[in-house]
Amino acid sequence: MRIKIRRTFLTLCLVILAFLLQGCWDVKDIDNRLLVTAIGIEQAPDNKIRIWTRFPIPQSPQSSSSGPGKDFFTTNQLGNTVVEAFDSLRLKLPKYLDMSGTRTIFLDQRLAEKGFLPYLEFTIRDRMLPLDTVVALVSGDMEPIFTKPNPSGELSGVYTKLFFERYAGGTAQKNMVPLWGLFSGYFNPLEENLVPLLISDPVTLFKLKGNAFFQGDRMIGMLTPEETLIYEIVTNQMTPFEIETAQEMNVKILESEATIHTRMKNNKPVIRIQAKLTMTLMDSAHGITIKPDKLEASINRLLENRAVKIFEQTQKKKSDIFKLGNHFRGKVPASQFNRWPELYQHATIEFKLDSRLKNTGLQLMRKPFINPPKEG
Amino acid sequence: MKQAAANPQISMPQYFILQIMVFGAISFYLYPYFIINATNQSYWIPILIWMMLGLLGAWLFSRMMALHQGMDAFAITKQELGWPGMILFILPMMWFIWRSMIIMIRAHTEIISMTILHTTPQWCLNGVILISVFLAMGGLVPIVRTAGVFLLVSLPLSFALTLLGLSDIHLYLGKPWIHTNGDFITSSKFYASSCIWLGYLYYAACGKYTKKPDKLWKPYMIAAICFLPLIAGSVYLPVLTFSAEMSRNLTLPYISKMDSVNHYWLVVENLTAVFISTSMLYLILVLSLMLHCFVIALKAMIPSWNEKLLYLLIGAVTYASTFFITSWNGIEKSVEWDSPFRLYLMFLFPLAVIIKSFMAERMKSRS
Repeated sequence: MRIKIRRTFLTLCLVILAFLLQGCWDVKDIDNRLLVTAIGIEQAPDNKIRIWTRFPIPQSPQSSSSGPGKDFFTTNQLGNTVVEAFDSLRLKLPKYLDMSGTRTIFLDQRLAEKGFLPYLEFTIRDRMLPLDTVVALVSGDMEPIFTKPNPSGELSGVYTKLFFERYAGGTAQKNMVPLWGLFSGYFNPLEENLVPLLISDPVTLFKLKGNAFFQGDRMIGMLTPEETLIYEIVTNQMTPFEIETAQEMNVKILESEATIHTRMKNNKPVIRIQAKLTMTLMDSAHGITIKPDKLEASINRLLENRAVKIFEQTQKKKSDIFKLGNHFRGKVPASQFNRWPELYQHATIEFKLDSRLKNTGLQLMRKPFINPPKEG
Repeated sequence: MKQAAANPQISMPQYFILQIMVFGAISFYLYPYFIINATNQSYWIPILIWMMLGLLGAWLFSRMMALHQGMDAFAITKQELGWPGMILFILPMMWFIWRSMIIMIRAHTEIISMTILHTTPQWCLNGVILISVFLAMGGLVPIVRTAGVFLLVSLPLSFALTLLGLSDIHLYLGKPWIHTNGDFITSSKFYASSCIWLGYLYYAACGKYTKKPDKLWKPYMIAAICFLPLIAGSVYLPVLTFSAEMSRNLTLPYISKMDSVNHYWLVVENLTAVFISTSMLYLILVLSLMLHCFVIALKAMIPSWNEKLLYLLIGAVTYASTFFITSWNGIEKSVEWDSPFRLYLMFLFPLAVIIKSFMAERMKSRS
């Protein structure tokens, strides 16, 4: 009898412990949540902030049988700070504001020029947003981006991320920056941020305008999408989708590999960048006759000249977006890391490109030059 | 046959499993913070220094356990050093185990609060100790068997998470790779980072379960070597992803690293939740091992007390004590303050018992 009571007691204890194991508390069903997929932080008059939030509306086949309904809704809210604006927004919403599924944060270019920290610090201080949320700047009005439907469907807001995703819609020029990457660039004194800058588009909601470069948390300039290619080559982030035009021909860069050699000479950094590009010919339009080595040389010249211009531009503004300072870890004492922007400004940078045409399409498999003149 | 049932043996692979669980429970939460903040140079150097010292400590501890085969460390201390030894070593050991349990529970529950269960109250999360109390009440053999089962789940997941963490890393962020100026020697965080290498102390209650106590350092060594990639990963993955400068600004660098992993093809979006679930398996097991150790130590001092009641009592006291640590800062400081105490137990405790035994034998042979 005693053993039976003991066993019952132990079983009861185990059942109670099993309840403890799952740790659930204060449960909020998915039905009681409003999942934010995209957040916009925009400058408003009187030094105020306007936040935009976009929520997908889940639709079952039954509920949408009466016809296609709106698959999202948008709210906006004014506030003195971002956190205050979110607090005010909660007063309007019928359900719990859940930001744990946020895909993208859009920040107004004007705020980025003042410094992004006061507007985005909440994202890493309180773990409200995932660290892999994509960050992008927006030039101009945010309203169309948040209020118009996405032509390819809402996809629970994933489209804002897919736009940058290399496996999906992204190209190297779009330079996807996650939230953690933005803060890494801010905290690390040996590099600066390069963040995509978008502008609203009447058909596709938004398009790439360029990539903004920073010093600390302030935006201080912009690279065009073409100029961004140099950044991708130097940082070895090139994806095989880019098309570069030289001699009115289109080539696709298949692979890129940059080797960086660094040293200190007379207290000045000397940086040698040797990049190798492997390409294929996409289109030899206009029937121009050109030999592959000449095409390679012209691409080398084009990209090297472009690189010189960008290095000058970023050095002048002390913004090491190429993360070259990291190659001086161990060569410059850690106590001197904060001096890196000045050191970068006076650094000697050599950029050499060695491009190779891997193949030129079926046409040139037979002849050693492109678009051979027709015989006879 | 009856004797074998009364004294079941724990094999060396099982000791290895126990040690892996200890490493898993201690390595991921504060350790990266300590190492990253201890030095600006090569991080692997302070990691390996403590690993070597840990191996030395484990060897000393095995030598001590081999002094009287079939006895636990507390009984050996009592026999060799008497009551002074108990006051000098067993009491501090009990104090240390108790504090470690509180810190580990609080650290893990704080992590859970910060990451996945924001609204679950601390009193509920701290209740994890109850599961360990029940496991510990079964004795060391059930703990070891449970460790085997838990290991099958947690270790492959830990390795998988480390492999996934290899995304988005840049080797240049870890420079200088082979240079140090020894700056960590003056950092209290370097000494605090010894916290993960003391797992062999929890072999203290294992004496009667092994026929070769002098070989106990071997499973420790193999576990340390096997777990080293994960330990190095907990430090290097955040550094190579975020840079050392940002990692120093993060409360939980390794967990933030898990948060940052994003792949288009990855089905599991919340890797942090997977990581925390595996951590809880390590934690539950190690807490039960520590509780067992604590009760055996207490029984060495007061043998007449009822063992089952002691487990419940210690569990209740530990649970109540967790409420005294109110912040993450308190957890960090507690581990740092414990450093002298920890080193005293890791090295001086086995060394003193061995020396005393050696001297007693020499005196005996002279007389």
